[in-house]
Amino acid sequence: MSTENFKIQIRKGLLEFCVLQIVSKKEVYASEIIEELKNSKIIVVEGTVYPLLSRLKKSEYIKHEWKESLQGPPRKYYSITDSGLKYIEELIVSWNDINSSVKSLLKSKN
Amino acid sequence: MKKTLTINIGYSIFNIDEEAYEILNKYLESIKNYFDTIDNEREIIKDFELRIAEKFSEKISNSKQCINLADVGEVIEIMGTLDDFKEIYDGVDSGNNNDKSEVNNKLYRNSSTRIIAGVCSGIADYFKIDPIIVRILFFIAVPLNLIIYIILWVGVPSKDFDPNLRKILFRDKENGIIGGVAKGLSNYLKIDANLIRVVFFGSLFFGGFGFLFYLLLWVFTKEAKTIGQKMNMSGFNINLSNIEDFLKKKTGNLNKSESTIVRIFLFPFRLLAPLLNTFLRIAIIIFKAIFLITIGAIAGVSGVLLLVLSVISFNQILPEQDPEFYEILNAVPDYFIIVLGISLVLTIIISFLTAVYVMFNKKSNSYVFMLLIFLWFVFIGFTIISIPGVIIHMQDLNLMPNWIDGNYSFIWKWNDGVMLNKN
Repeated sequence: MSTENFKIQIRKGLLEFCVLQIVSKKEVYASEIIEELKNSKIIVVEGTVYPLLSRLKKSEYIKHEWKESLQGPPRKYYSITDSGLKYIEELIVSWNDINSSVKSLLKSKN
Repeated sequence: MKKTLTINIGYSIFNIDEEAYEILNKYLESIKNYFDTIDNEREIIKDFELRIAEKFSEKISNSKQCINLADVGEVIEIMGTLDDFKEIYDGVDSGNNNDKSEVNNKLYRNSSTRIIAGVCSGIADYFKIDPIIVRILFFIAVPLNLIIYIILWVGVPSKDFDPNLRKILFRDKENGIIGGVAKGLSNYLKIDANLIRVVFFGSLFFGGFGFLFYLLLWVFTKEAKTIGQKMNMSGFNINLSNIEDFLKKKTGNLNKSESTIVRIFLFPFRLLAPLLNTFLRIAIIIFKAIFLITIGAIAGVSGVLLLVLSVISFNQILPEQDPEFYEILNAVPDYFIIVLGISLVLTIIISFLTAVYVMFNKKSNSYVFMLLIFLWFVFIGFTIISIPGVIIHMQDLNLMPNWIDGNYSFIWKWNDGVMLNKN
């Protein structure tokens, strides 16, 4: 298994978590989400975000609102819902669990 | 100079090169298709379009007012292609999984991976085997295969499992030697072009069927000219390497690598190519000329007949002038003259239109033309059906004139019983 494949698997698993995290901090529009994900190298291509946003919206973890923008057409701003906040808390718990177990595994090797 | 189109994408308007448009359109089409099952409200595709519009507006400036192929390629690179999405979404929530289970339940003709009508590939999908096995089995089973194939073609519904892979047979003149037929076939069947060329060439020594086949394909397939057609030759698959290839080809950086043996084999054909090209062009011209002359002759004869008919019917002939002729004329029923006249007029109009279509290489898809052809059949049919009736009618009046004597024996035979009693 190459490292590339490993990265893909990790990204695949964490994408939803990261997107929710970004949306929960403040109201953002799609390009901002993409920008942040790109900076932290979670996504490679932008297109992967849209289907995910649509799915999260269908599960009612996030909602969107159209807002006028100064340059160009109106933009879609995403924000988190109450059930989304609850969901992300659960995700954070399980993330911390996994994170600590992986860390302890790595330590025990040394 | 290039032709541009105006598109409305994500609430913004852009001018875009024709070929860039073609690629963009196919790209959006492929996304729409991929996310079809989860994208009920067309939301994902709209998000894509909005983002693409944003990217485009960054590309536009006063000095550059048009989106070109390179821009579209860049945007597709940023947005990602199906390969990227499959990485993340396959096995999660893409509808493709449902599709596949559907395939196994019911027999479809798979028009995405078809060669003729998708019968073999459909059967292969059904039994989960390689289509080539089914194809070989079909090929061996001459002549039973033809019947089975046609029955399945008619009886089994076709389904496009992946429209992006739909192939269309074009001539690839750019990469071809003579007319691009072999190269086009090779793109379509995904077989090495030189292999096909060898088969075509080899068939020359076994009755020359290949030559005929080649000519037929040459005449009946279109040359791939636009970038979309070129991509459709081997199944349209938008990915970056494909687009890069086209960009390179446009600038002429794509160097072909051919082995020496191939070059030696192809050398005589390269020499012959211009000769054959002119030969075919001349042949087509001669063909057209013969066709036009035939049509002209038909129209001319009909015209003369019509003229004679109208002179006879509109100039009143008095009984004193030619009593015999007057009687004959009166014996012919009016309806027959009218029907015959209309048939002749229709023949002339249709010949004229056909001649125009052939001369200017136009396709006749107008309903008017279809209607004319239909009417022509009706009236000609009616004329032919009523001829015996008219002749019998005239015989009843004892008016078989001298000038029809030559045909007398024919009528005699034709109307045996009645005639014997009369005479």
